[in-house]
Amino acid sequence: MKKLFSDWQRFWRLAEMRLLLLALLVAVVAVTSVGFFTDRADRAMSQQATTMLGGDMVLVSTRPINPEFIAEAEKRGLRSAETISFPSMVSALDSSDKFQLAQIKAVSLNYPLHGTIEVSETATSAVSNASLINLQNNEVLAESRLFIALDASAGKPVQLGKMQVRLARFIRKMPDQSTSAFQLAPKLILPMKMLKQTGLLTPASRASFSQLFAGGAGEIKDFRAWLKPQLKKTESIRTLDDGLPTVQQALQRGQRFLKMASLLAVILAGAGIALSSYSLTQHETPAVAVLKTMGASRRQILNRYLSQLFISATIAGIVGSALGYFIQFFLAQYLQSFVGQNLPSASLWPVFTGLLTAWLMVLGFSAPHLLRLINTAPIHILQGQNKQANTSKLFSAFALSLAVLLLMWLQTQDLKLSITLLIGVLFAIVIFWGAALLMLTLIRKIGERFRLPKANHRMALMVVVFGIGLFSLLLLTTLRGDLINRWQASLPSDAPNHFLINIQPDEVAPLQRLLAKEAIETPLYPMVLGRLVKINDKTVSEEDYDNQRAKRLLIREFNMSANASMPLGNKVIVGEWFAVDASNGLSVEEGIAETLHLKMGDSITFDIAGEQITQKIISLRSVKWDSMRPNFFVMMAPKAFDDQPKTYITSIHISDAKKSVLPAIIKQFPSVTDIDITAIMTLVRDLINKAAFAVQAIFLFTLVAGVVVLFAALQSQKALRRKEIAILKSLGASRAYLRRSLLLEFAIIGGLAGFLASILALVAGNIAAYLLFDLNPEMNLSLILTGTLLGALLVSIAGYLNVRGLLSVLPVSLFR
Amino acid sequence: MNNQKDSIAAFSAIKSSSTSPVIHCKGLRKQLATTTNTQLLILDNINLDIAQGESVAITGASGSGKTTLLGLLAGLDIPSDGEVKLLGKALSPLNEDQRANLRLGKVGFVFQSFHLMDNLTALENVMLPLELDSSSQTIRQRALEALKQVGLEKRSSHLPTQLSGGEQQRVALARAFVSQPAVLFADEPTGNLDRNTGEEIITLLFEMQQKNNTTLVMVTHDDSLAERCQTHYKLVDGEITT
Repeated sequence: MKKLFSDWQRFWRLAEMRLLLLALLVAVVAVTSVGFFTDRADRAMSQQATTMLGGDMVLVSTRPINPEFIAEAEKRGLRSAETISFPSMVSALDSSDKFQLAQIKAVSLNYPLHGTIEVSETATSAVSNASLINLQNNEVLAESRLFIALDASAGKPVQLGKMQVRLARFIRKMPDQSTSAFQLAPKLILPMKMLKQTGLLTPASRASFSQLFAGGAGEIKDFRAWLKPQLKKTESIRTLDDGLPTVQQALQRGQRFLKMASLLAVILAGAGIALSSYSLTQHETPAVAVLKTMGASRRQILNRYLSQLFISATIAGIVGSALGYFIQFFLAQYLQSFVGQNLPSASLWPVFTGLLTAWLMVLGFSAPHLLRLINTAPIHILQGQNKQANTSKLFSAFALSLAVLLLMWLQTQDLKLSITLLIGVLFAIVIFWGAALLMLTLIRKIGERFRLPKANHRMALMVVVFGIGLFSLLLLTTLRGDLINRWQASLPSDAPNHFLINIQPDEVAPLQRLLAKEAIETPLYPMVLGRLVKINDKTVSEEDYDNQRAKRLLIREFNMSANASMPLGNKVIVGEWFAVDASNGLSVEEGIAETLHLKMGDSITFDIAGEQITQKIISLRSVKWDSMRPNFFVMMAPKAFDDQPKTYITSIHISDAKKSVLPAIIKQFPSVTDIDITAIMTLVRDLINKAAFAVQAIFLFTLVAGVVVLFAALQSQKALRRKEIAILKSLGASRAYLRRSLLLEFAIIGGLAGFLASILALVAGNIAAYLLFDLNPEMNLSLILTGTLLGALLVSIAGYLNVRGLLSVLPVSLFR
Repeated sequence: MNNQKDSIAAFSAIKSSSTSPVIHCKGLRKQLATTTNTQLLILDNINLDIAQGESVAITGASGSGKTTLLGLLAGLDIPSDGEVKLLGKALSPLNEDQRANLRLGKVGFVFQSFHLMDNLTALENVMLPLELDSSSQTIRQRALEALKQVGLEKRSSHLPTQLSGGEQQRVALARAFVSQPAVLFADEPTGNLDRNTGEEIITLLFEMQQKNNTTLVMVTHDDSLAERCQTHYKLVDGEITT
């Protein structure tokens, strides 16, 4: 062992070996920092999962739960609890006029069946288990965010609908308290018996009804089997096995994306390892020939190099894991709003992954090169040749592909995704490679009289690897800031910034009067929920469609409206809008019509509150979805909803000068819910910023890997460059001239890499802008300039640092 | 020509009559395939016997096959025809590893371009042949002693790039002799050195060869250097003469 490490110290003196180790280190740090972070987040999720549901099984519905189901569960000896969730405004009763949208959760007294609600007197004081039975008549529990928003302390009375309640305790932990990132409103828990007094729940309310069940595993399984065939489309069963809620699925997708981003760094680092190994093989070929003249066997040669690779990989695995562990702390700190405040400590699994990554990388990217060494013919040392032995290209390609595939699987554990990523990387490489060669040739032709360096494959390689690193960074930069800025800038200054929902029919006239008094004119749209059940009298279900969006549309309920005038931002494409007094006909948004294969004249049947209503399509509309106004997939004739239970919705622009109108609305209409778009925009912006920054941080590894590859590429041509410099010096070239030439060459490589990276980032960014935000393409010249300059600067510095020692090479070295 | 060859064989046979030769070759022939698919004859019908402790010089014009012959005698390459025996063992039936094992600790090399490993210090370079042989003991002390013999004990921690050409060749000599080999093959040992340094190296080489009773087979262009060896063979068009 001592001998192995003393040999490793000797190899450490080789620049190629140091680069190889550096590339390995970058790969391991990229993998383990993400690995530790996702491991901690996963463990947090598993811990949450046990108490998340609050029971063994939950039946969720948009309608009140069928009492027969509850009776059957009781008959089978199962315990059950009830919850109803919906958003509503909560306002302070003091003069501050403060109010906040909250997620109200009315629960039966035995809630939860598993786990507890942990509460405290203040946001930070000692935690105890809450007992809903002990709550006084008008007491409720709330998350600290609600206390903060209302500037309240424990015991303070607030207005909830028609009722005054007291915020008794701070909720610190509760079942179904999913991560806070996508939870716009803080939670408020009130006993079910108080719900009626608030007057907030009406037949048209958009509420989620849940029934929790708990019991023996066998009983639950049997009950589930009994229940499942009887469920309507609006009802679903959730158990721990049925997958995680949306937020956590999003978190898992995010984690997978982070892992993929780190994989890009790994692949680039792999290129660095392959190049370093190529140089190492070149360098060591004469050494191996000498060793063979001394009597070294092929096995000794193989052991000598494989053991060094193994030690390097192990050192990189251990040191890289330690670095990755520290880096993930920053990542977890930065993303704590996504994953929660207190993550459990990480397991040792990422260390194993890091080591495995390093070993796989040396086996796949390095070993095939070094295996050539064992076949070095010793006679070549006498003949003055530095001829490398050949190994099967097929074997090298197989080893490389297998290593890449295993690395991808290790990171994503998804073969399809791995292949997609591989194709994406290959596609980017081909584009970069072609563009780089083209541009280099062009530069050469244009700049012949300036003695610009001749384009070759190695220069193109440097442009490609460094360009990919820069591209990923620049694209994220574009997406992170530019796109959101452009989207916001595209909205008019008087675009609505508040949505008022849940407006009851009897509140429409007084609300309109109040708004008119403040010179705010806005249409109020009636809104009902309806589920599509038939097209042209033929019953439809999600099985009739292959398209995932169509399937989802058939499971969920539509928000439908009816109005005499067409909403702003809507445009009839085919057919005609309704007559003022019409009571028949449908207007369908063009996108949904295409998805569901609907056409003019089709007869469509909706189930609205248990009643089936059939109408014919008389127009197709285009809708500007980002207009910040109420928009609907389906609109009915102005008189169609006259007899339906409904609520109203509107959007208004509240300028800073008119901010006092909101407290007035909430006070006068307690059931009305205000959704502050500005706050949501800020939150969304913050989320995107943080997510993009996290990914960008991972892509930084890609850039570092790019720099390592650059060094490796420079190292592989160092001998040739030394000779060139010696020849040029012998012909009279000064150091200053040589320095200028080298810097020019590196600036061209870096500038070109940056230029291509920024062009591609701009194209990809504009495609994303068009697809995600419907924005017109924009030419951001500053990005191209920044990318080009950044590339030129980075490569010039890195390149010059690598070769500056060669400038002092003496021409006499040519004679040795 | 045939008479001349016969006389060489007879001469070698007389010299090795007392003990069996350290190097023996008979009817040695080497030809290489060219890019035009024709065979190029490099060496033809070489017969040699070299005794223990003998110093032999092989000279010849560029391309005469000197280096090829050296490689064949050392078992670095295999002949197209004929037989080579090194240290009493026929090389042809041996595979590459068996030939390497035969050289281990018993054969040393000195090259024109020194071929020191640039990531190893002078001492580590000298230790290398001993490290390859698992039976070696007191490796460090022996390597230091070898460096002392070539007058470089104070530069033991220097890397080759920190040494002059003459010093590098001294390290190479120390490396070649550290395992006290029975045979030393030298390929133009002064080719990369100035006259004075070359002279110093050659003096050292012969001193060490005599001290260790090592058989020396040296390829050189330098006739005056060849004359210092006990035997001087000339290679002309792939054939050997004295």
